[in-house]
Amino acid sequence: MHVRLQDVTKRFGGIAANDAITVSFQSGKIHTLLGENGAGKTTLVRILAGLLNPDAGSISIDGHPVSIDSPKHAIALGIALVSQHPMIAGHLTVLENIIAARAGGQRTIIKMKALRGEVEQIAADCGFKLDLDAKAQSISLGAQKQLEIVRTLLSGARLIIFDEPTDVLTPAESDAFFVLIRRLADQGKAIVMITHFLREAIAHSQAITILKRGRLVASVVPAETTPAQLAELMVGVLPSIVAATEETPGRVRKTVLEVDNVSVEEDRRQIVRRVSLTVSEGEIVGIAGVAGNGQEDLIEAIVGLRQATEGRITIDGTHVGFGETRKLIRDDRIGYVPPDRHRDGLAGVMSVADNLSFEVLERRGMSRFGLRRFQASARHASRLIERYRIQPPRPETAAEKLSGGNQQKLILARVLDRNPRLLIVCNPSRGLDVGATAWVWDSVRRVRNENGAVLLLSGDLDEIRSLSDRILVFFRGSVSGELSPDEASSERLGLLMGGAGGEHAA
Amino acid sequence: MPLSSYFPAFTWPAFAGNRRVGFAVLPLAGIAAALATTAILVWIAGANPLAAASTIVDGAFGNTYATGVTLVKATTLLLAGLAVGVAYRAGLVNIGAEGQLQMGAAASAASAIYLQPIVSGSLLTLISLFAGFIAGAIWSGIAGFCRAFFKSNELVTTILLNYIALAFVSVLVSGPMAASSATFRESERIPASVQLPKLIAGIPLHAGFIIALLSALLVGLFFSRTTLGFVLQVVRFNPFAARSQGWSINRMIVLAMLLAGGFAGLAGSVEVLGVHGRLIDGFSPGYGYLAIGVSFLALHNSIAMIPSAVFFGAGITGMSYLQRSLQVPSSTMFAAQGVLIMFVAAGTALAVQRARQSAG
Amino acid sequence: MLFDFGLIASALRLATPLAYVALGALICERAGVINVGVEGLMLMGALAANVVTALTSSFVLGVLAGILAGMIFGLMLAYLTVVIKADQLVVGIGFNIFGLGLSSFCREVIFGVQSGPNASRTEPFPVFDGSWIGSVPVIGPILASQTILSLGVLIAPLAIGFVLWRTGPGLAARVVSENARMADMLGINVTRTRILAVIIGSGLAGLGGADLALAEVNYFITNMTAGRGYIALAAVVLGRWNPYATLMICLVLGVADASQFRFQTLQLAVPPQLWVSMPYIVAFILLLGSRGQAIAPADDGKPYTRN
Repeated sequence: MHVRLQDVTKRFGGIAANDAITVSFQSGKIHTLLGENGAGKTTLVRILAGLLNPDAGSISIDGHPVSIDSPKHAIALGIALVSQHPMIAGHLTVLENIIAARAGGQRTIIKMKALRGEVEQIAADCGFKLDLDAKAQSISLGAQKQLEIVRTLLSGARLIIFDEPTDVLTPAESDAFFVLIRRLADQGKAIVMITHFLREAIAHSQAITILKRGRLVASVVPAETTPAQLAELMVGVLPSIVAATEETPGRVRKTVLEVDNVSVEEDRRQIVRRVSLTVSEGEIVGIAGVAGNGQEDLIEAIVGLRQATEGRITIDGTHVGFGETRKLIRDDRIGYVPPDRHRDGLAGVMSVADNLSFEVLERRGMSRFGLRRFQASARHASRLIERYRIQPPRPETAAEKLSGGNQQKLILARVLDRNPRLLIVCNPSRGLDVGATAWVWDSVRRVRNENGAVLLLSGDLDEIRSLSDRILVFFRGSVSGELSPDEASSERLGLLMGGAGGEHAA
Repeated sequence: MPLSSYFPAFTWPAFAGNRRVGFAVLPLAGIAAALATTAILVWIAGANPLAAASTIVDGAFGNTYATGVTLVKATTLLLAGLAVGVAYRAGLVNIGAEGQLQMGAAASAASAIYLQPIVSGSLLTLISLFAGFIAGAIWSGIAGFCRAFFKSNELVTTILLNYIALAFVSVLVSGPMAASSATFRESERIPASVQLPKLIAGIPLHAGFIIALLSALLVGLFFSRTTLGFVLQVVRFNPFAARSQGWSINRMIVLAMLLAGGFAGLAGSVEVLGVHGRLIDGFSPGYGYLAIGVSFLALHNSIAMIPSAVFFGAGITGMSYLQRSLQVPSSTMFAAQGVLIMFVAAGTALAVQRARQSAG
Repeated sequence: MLFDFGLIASALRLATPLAYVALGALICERAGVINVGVEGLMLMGALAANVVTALTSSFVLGVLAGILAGMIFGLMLAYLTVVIKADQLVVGIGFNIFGLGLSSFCREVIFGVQSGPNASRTEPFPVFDGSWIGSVPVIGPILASQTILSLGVLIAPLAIGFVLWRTGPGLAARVVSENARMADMLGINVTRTRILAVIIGSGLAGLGGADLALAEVNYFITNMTAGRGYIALAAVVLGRWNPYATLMICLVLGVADASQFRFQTLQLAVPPQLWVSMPYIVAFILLLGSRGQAIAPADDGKPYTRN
């Protein structure tokens, strides 16, 4: 199979997400698409999968021009997309999720036995041990990825696209994954992989195509390149980031946050198990871990959004109770940037000014006798917009109209402006470009340098390593290890995140 | 819960001027659709739509008395409409205004009748109004409480509570509160001194009209000016954001439902104290359901609900005149109202999609 | 005697319309559409069935008319909620008010504005001849002298369950209700699946209305459904989106409904209106117990747009 995209262009509101891109994918090869967030990788594969129609350009398969106008058509052509986040129907069984690829389009009684046999065969060929009768939502993220692979194979895909496949996998699962796609390629499948992990791209693919702001900037052969070279191609020249540490040795640092043997339960299941940690003045403590290992739940307990079933949380020696979030924010004891800003950070249809006033709503200047004072609120908004350079600089704009970077600036401005004693910041640079990331990192460091305490939670290991003074790794609700940034090699972090103890790695 | 977790709410942000233009067309389209439906049904019923139109206008505004009746209906509808709108602006669907209104009327009548030995005159009027507000608030508060703490969907609970309230009032006026000499199911008469005074002699328009206008104004101020109203809107537009700010969503849900039901209760009160002077079985021709249309036509803006309520009030008086004079069933109005709501919903969806597309 | 098999038999009879409507709503939700409009659909189905049977004296035509009315208006609802993607709750509420008005209007135009129930009265619905089964213990007294529609409602969950769990279109519908995007990516037509489900579900709601107007009583009056459509929505939640469990919930509510007549005959010092409200109170209390809605299909009630 030979799939060729010729001068494919796709615009969103005048901005080219894909600008005249020409690339081809072949059987037997693993082809990596590399680029920053917003570089246009996902747009390109969505066009291939029939989810988007290109504005210009053509696609051909084995020399025959095709027009992929729907996902159904893409499947018929043998193209399948495995998205970044597991695409499953949670309440349905694993088997049902898999056979939906074929039986979902049929108008007859499902031949359950035959299909089951076929699925079992494919799974065995891949070396997967899937419980076909389990509810899809109850299996691990790694198993869900396996489910999706079996499904694409069942649907007869010949070109399989993986969008950020290793994001949700443990290092061991990742290794197995690469062995598998190598074998699929050897069996004649064409594999396309989207990633931002440079080393993965070099180690496992036969061709690398680099996209930047919608354009194809380079095609390289992995054997002839280095991570540094790829990084430069991806992002251009890195802006200089403000000094990482300004160490003042010999100072006595007071402990700000103390978490003592805290557990959290959900549905009678312990999701945080007797965790203890401290964060002191002038330090950034990073929490790493594969999503869903309890770290976000612990954060919610610290900010009073979740009830801890045992243990004690104190900030500056004062006990923090469940439901006291608002009080903690009002007293400037915590500043909280939630993990998912699209979901938790903003009320999108409300104005920038309104969103900027969340934290200080009940302050004397902002309200009197329960009535809001709009002039004060507008002044507050204008000041923050200017100080944090939020674009466009109009307080009346609906927050959802801001770019991702400016939304993040808005949330950070809202929090940082109060000089909270303890800053809890989650995934601060997720989805941001290099410039915005530099600004965000800079802001977080500044809090630390001004003697604030920072607890950083991030799924991005580079971010954790660059910012943290100490790194805690979470696995299944407990801290599986503590590292200094110097010790925190990808390998060691990976082992700890996968539950393999630090002592083995050392 | 699927029924409740997802509310693609109207976008009506404080400043978003660019969108307002698109949304201002919606009520007009809704009215046009409602009028077209009415015309078709009138024609089916064998009357001339043009003649019917002049009959309706005549019935609703033909003379000062008719206008007064229209405004009396608008009074009740406006208060009940606020019950729908207040809930909706906090992201809740309250279709229980009918039941809340019944409970308000019952409490209002009971206090006006049984507290006579203790207080009298306008003080009792105030107490009776207050009782109506509280009873309505409790009745919808039950639904709010169950939504917040048992995750029972308020769409279903409020409608169930409607039927329970109707039965309850029916029980009251046929037993415990029944007038000794009555042939109908109704309570004793409330003394004229306790009833709401008429605003102009010879016209049925009563002081409840002022109460309704003030209520609409207060609700408007509540959402635009107060901290609490602001938080309620954050809860509606993004409950997750409200939660991560530490605002208790459960508390806000209960609060919004209490407030909403209070206004419906007040609607029941003014019916008892301003219109009938007693509690009567089946006194409401479906005010609580018409209130849904009142609120949606106004896009849940309490000030816009004033003309909206007058429009629906004119509908009631005009259509009942039409039924008497041309034998066209007044149920036409419910059909037209339903079309109006569906039009507003469809138009909103289309406007939101267009706004999304233009945003890219 | 408060309890005997007669009570169960009348519970089944009274639960039949509710169960058809609930199963119809369930089909819609199993494709991801919350069909709040079932109350209005039921009313239109009841009206159509009553009018056609009154005019033609044919119960078959009446029942078919009820189903057809449901399907036609279901198509309209599907267009609004699935194609235009309007808010499903608001459209449903609007449609219910529309259905209330239109059915009442039609009744008044056809039978006269001031007419009572008698104007629209039809013959009693024929009862299934169950003499051969009547001697079987327990099920005999329950199933004998039921209408074919009441017997049908006992079988309907089997058919619905078979389609949903054993056939391609059923699996497609369940995938659409759980994860519409995944369905789309697997080549399942989300829009078509949902439209079909809404039309079929609405047809069942119309059938429920037909049973109400032809078999439970034999006339049509304004708002005769009295909130049954909304109770049906609750029954789907209580039945955890499972057709068999939903039917059981409807039967429980039927017992509450049936026992009110028993209580009324007891001549207790309780006003009859209180018994009338009993099914609503029972439904309300059951709803409180349901609590978790975590088992709802994940994309239930959410419109789908590809981008």
